Amino acid sequence: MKLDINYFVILPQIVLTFFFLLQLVVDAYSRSTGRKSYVGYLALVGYALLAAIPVVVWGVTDTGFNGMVLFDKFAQFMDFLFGIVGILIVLIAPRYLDDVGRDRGEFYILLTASLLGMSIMVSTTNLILFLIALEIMSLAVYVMAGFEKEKGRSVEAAFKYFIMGGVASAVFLFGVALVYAGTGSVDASLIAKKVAGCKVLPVVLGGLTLVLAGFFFKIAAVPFHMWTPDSYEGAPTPATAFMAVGVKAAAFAGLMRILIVSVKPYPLVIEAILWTVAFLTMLIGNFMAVIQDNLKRLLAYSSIAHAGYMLLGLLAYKNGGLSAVLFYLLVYAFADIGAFAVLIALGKDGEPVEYIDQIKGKASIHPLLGAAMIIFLFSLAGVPPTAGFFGKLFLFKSAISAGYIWLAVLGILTSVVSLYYYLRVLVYMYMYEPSDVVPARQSVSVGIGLAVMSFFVLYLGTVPAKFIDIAIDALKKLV
Amino acid sequence: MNNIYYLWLIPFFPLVGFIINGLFGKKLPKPVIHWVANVAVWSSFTVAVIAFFDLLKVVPGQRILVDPVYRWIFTGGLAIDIKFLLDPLSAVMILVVTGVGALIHVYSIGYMHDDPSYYRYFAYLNLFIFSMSILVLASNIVLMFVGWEGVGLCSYLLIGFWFEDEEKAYAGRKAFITNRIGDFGFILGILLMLVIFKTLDFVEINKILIYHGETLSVTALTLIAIFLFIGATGKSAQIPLYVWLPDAMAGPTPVSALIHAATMVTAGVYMIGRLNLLYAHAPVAMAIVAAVAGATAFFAATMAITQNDIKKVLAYSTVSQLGYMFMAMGVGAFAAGIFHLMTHAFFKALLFLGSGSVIHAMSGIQDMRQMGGLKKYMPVTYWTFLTATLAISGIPPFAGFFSKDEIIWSSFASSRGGVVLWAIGVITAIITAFYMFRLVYMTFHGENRSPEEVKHHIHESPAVMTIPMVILAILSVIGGWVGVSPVIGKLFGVENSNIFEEFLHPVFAHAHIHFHHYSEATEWWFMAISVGGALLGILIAFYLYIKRTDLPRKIALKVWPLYKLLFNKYYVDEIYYYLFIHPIYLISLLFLWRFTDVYVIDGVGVNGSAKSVRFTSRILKYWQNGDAQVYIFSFVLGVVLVLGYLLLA
Repeated sequence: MKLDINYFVILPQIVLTFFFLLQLVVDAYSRSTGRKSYVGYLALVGYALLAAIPVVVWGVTDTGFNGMVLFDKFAQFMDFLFGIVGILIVLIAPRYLDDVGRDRGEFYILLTASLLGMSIMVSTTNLILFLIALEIMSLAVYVMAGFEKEKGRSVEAAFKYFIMGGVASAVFLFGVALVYAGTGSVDASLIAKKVAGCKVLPVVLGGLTLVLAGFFFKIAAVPFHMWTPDSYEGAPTPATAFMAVGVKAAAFAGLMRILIVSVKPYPLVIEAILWTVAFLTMLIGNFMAVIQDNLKRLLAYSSIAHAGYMLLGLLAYKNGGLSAVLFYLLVYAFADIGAFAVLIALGKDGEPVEYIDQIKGKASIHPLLGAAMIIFLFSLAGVPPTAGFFGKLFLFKSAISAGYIWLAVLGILTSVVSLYYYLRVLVYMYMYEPSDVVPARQSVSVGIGLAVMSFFVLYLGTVPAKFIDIAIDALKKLV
Repeated sequence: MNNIYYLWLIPFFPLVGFIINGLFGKKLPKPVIHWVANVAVWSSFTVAVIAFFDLLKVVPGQRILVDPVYRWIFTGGLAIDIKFLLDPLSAVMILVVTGVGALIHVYSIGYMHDDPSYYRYFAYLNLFIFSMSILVLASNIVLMFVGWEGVGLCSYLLIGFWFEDEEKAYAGRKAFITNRIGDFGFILGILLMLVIFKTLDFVEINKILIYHGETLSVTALTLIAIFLFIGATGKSAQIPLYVWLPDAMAGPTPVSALIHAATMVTAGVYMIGRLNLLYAHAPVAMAIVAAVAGATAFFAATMAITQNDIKKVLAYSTVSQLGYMFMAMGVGAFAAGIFHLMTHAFFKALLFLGSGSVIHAMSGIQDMRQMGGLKKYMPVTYWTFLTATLAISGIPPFAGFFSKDEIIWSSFASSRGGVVLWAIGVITAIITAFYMFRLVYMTFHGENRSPEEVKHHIHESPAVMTIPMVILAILSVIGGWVGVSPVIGKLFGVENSNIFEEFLHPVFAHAHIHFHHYSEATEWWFMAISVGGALLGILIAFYLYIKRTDLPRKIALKVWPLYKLLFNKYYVDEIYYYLFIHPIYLISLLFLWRFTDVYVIDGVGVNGSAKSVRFTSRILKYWQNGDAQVYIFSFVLGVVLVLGYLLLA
């Protein structure tokens, strides 16, 4: 077979690899000359390019490397999202890393590496390539989680994540092996051809189920979620934000592509598994968030709950559920990173914000941060006119039209529960006297990030139609 | 249908003004505040004028321009756009709203000069212009409802502007709650509309009515029209929901002029104009509108006779004049109703601004019994006020004459009117002239009766207040000349003298309301009767309040029960209190609050479910104990369960 080399389809990956290497060199060079490292700015340029490529080439699709790499609208949409997420993380990270005395260039290099992995993950249906990409992403994120190497909990976070991630990868790989045994292929699209028309072999189904379990781990769905609170709590806040948004988005996108391409319509058993996991995830994620006093833990459980909502969209793939998921990922990215960014902005030198007591009365000292927090948390809770409302609306609507009425009802009810713990944060910010009135240090980059995110949360809430149309467009070929 | 891509600027400018003053106004100096607000509304007015001339460039039959901003809601079969619509009707309305609004913004600089909440006032005023232009330019009824609620909110905020005064705060609440009752009807109307038409877009609805009007259920159309009219009775202060408007005078006087006289309260009339085709298909609903309007016009006018508060007289007069406008709508003389809406906006805004000028000079006194003889102290206020008074009384050639006479004539000539409505119109016109001149005589003529400490303060208002008044006075004179009835036009040798009606004609053309034909002589006679009636009213007022100032008291004593009935406004407020407010209050207190809310919702519902959630979470917490082994166990358990399910299936 002739090797089909097509540089166009790996354009985003080329850019990321280039910047990854450039960052390494620049960082090493500035370290040796003792100057401050500017790899963060490099990262910004690289991610801006990553986000710009899809905008420029939108709609120009191609495949390469004998069908292994797909550069379709779906991949382009996700690359755009990853670029935005990367930029936002770079904007909010320096302030936190500076506060804890770990402002080092490696953080951004690792970020680039994991974005590279993510970008490959969403542009392939080849399970082996997918797994390699997954590992590229995961290894970098493990290190990011343990970036505060002097802090015990950060190391614990990295370690737990690493061990659990290892188990998940093993299960995933075993699943791939079973699928290969049953179909003789590791490419989801070929699997689909093999199983089309005839009864799906149990061994293939079993393999797919294990692959699914691997995905459930990455998106932090119950009962594969146990690592999430510990890792999110211990990891540096910008890394947490990245895990909660970037990693989850990549895993969801990969799950969507592989599941939809390989088995459609779902066999009954896959549907039942998705149903149960979505049910448990919404329920337990929201319930556990209620009793958290650690804000990062609270947001960890909230991110679990959001994964549960998005699983609804995956179930309702026939009724526009997938476009709802894509839209939700976009909305969720702005609102969730935003909430973490507010925590970062409120932090002080040597004492980053973690516990709810630390934000008591802060809205009176930082009214703009308070307002931003209202916007983000309202969006996470799904209150109009924020984008989160439409995100949930589209998800629940698709679930209802697909016949999953009771799951949608549960989603709505647990959203009500979520309102409790989100509002509790705002109550602490607004309705208590501040324990100290010394304002936190101002940071321009965090400020810019917050402004951008609040704007988009409100903008997506006012003109959702435009973006849902783009999401539908991105999925046309896939469904 | 052509596009006009800059229409969104009209609501946009005041929104920006509102945001600037609302967020940062507290820290801004006063000149910046009023410059921001004024520039915003004047910009809107400029855009409106440009849009108006662009509209004129289009062939009369096709004057529908739209500005599709974006799709706002879409779910199932329903799509609601943020889309603005400019046709002759909305063009007239938006010019009135932004034009009169701009003048009143200028006036407010002088009137609110010493108010500590200067920024809040101008922020609300800008927000009002924003909401009102949304209402006017909306191309579907949901967007119109957004504006409808927005102006309601601004009205509430501005009536209770001086909320430290419990009574004023109460007036604000009364306005809001009364409007909510009407809005309930409006919402029902919208929903029923959606069921019947499957669309909420005005242009689409009109298309359906033109081509398939006969196939639709008349009952349903009537119900929609009545529901929407219930909304209109709230917003536009008609029987039975007019009670809030007199109390709304608690707000600053420029607000009364802008919101509670010239613009917001006419929203109901505008809505019927927008949906004229729907109303034309529902004759019963139109008859109800006409009947309610006639009753309102008459009763409100009688209530105005006995009021001594200068603003209260004007308030009842507004209710009464709104009655005229609805009467026109009810008999199908839509253009006449909108015409009166426009002229009324000029002269009634001027009357309020004049009364504001008086109150300003009188150090806040509003009781006319303490005024008198102000003519020599404040000449500009006097002459402009007199102009407006002549206009509202319907004396030619002032603006009010042309519009009011057209309504009175149409109420007779229309196939949907009749002699009773006509009689009500004429009698109300007599009363109107009477109470308006009573007001003028008590305020500006005779001896000055004000307390000594007030007396030497009396002065003419500054130019920033009088110039808007003079402009409105000019409009109150010439504003009616665009709608001269053909019989008068012929006298002056002018063809097509009713430019206004001709301009609006395309909007109302499909309603096909039949008007009986009468000879010109008949028309002249009717005109003579209404002008004569107005003169009669003025004469009586002159006799009672200039010649024989002792008489009013004697007459009042002679017909004491009637006087008391009028003075207490037919006890409507009291009746509403015992019939509705008190019972609802008791039910709310005992059943809804103490039982349902405290016990069921708070006790069982909220706290109960909160407790159960917390309890569950605490149990689940033991699972999450921080042990990596337990986590892996849980993971593997998950895998086993999933596979187990697979095996069983």
